[in-house]
Amino acid sequence: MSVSTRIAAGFAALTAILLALGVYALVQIGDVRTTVDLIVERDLASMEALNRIDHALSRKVEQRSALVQSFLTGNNAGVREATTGWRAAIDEAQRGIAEQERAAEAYRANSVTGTRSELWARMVRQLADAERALAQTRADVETQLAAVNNNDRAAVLAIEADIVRDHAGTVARVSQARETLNVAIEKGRDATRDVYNASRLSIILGLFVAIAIAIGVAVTTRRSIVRPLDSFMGFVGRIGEGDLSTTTDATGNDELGRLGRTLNDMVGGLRTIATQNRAATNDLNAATTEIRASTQEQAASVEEQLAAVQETAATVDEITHSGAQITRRAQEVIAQAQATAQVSDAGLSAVGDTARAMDAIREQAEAVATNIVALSEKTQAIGDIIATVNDVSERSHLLALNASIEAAAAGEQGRSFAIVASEMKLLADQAKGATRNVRSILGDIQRGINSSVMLTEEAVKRVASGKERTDAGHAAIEELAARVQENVQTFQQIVASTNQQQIGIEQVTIALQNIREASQQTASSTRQLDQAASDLGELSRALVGLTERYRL
Amino acid sequence: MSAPPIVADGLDADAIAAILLARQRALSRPPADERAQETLLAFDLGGVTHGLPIDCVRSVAPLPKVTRLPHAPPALLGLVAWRGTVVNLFALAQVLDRDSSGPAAMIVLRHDTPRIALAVDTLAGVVTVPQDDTPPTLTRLVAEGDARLTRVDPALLIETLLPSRLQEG
Repeated sequence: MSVSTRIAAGFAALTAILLALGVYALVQIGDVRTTVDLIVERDLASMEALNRIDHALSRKVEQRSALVQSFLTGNNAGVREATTGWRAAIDEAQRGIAEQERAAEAYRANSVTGTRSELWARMVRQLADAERALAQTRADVETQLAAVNNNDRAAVLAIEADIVRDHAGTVARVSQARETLNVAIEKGRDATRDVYNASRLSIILGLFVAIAIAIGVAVTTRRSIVRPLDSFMGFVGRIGEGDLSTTTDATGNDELGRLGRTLNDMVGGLRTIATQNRAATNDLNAATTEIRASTQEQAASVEEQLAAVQETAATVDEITHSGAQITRRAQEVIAQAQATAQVSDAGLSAVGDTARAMDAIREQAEAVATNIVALSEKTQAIGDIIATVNDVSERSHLLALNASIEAAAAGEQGRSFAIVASEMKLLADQAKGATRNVRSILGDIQRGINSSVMLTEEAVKRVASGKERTDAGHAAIEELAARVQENVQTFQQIVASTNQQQIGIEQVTIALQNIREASQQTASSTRQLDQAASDLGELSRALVGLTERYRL
Repeated sequence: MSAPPIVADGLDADAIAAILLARQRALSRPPADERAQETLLAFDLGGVTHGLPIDCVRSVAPLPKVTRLPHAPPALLGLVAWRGTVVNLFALAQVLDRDSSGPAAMIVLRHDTPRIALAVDTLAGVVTVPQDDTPPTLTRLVAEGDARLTRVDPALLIETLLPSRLQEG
């Protein structure tokens, strides 16, 4: 639950409690008002009724007094008139007492309090007594009226005392009822005050409950917001002290959770920055050290440069001297190059002769190849002849064997023929061996001829290659002659250039003087640079100390 | 073939006389051994030198074209034409159970009904060996000086070659 939702829920709860309390108070006020209205209305009505009864009783007394007076004076008209008035008055009194009795009975049934109910009951009884007393009074007066009609003055006066007594009893009863009403009014005021006290007490209690609930809601909301905030405060305090190695709890989806995650991201970014910062500072320190070393090396090299400039000045003097020698040598070279051009013309004619000789050699080698091919064909023919001779020797061998067989068949007479046959066999064997030798030798000859053919072809190819090389040599010598001519021109340009070079070297000498002055300035600048690098090293070491403050 | 003039060209009269004298001496020399001598026709068969008594040989010749016969026995190579007659040609290597490298010549025996020729690898020459009187076998090893050769008995060979039916016919 987010913080805004929590705060809104707290406000809603407080508002609901106040609303309920207000409604309850209104209801209680209405209740009190209703009770007061009821009590006041009933009491006023009862008071009015009792006044009307009293008024009716008073008129009844006046009418009866007038009646008695008229009787005594003998005024009959006055008697009739007073009788009629008295009847109307007593009817009204009886009717008012009965109405009030019914009203009191009704009030008793639905009274506000029990006390008032009892009072209303008492009033009912008192009114009932009053009604009875009034009825007794009426009976007495009717008796007096009868006496009046009879002109019995004694009877009229005799009954007068009962009438007065009964009337007094009636009045006393009505007065008791009025007393009872006064008590009931008092009790009604007490009941109203009780209702008011009860309402006030319940409203005050409700107020306390609402205050307690509001305090609880406030405390809960505060705790749920302030505790994570305290954790974040401590975390931010650690970050401020340079401890970037911790993270805070970032739970939940509310604003505090998002705040925690954002803080963690922020610390991650700070950690990355601090790491890079530290690495960069270390690099800066190393670089500053290197710069310091470089400036010192530079100072040394500037010194060397000064010495080198001195040596260069000496060398330039030597170059000036050697430039003159170069001019002399170049003129000598020009003369020699012209001689070389003449020699190369002789070389050209000699190379032409060589090319012609190569052509002759090639023709002769081709003739030799042709002859060797003819020889190869001849040796083929010799091979055929040798095959024939071999065949002949084979046949001679068989013939000698057959001759030996015939000699053996001839017996003793054939012995000399057997010797001739053996010699023939010997000859045939020798011929066979000779043929074998000749064939072997002929094989060697053919192999020799084949290799000769190949060698001759190789010779022809080499002669052609030699011809090509001779032509290339011819072209090269022509090129050489042209180059020599160009070289002569080049050397003439060299002589001219050397003269210009002498002028340039004088300018170089002046420039070297300037360089020496510049080198001295550079040396002083390098010392300043060295000082600056030293200061920079101090700064970078201080910076490294600062970055060490962060714990990662 | 006419008389070879090549041999006669390089010889003068003295050389011819010397040759004739040597022949005369060789003819007049008595036999070295007292025992009876036998002349054999030597030939090669599968790298082994064999000998056949020259008495039973009619002639030798290069191997002509051979006409093969259907249903012939394995030893009979076929028929050849020789001096206008038909001759039976036998493979002597098959008979003697040798490894022949290919016959190139043939030996015609003195036997008329039927005529018999033997196919051999090469013909070597004529040798003279002492004769002994051991009982005849088909092949026998004989020695003449340093050389040794296998003598083939012709009569037993012909018996081996020709069944009785063929000998009668």
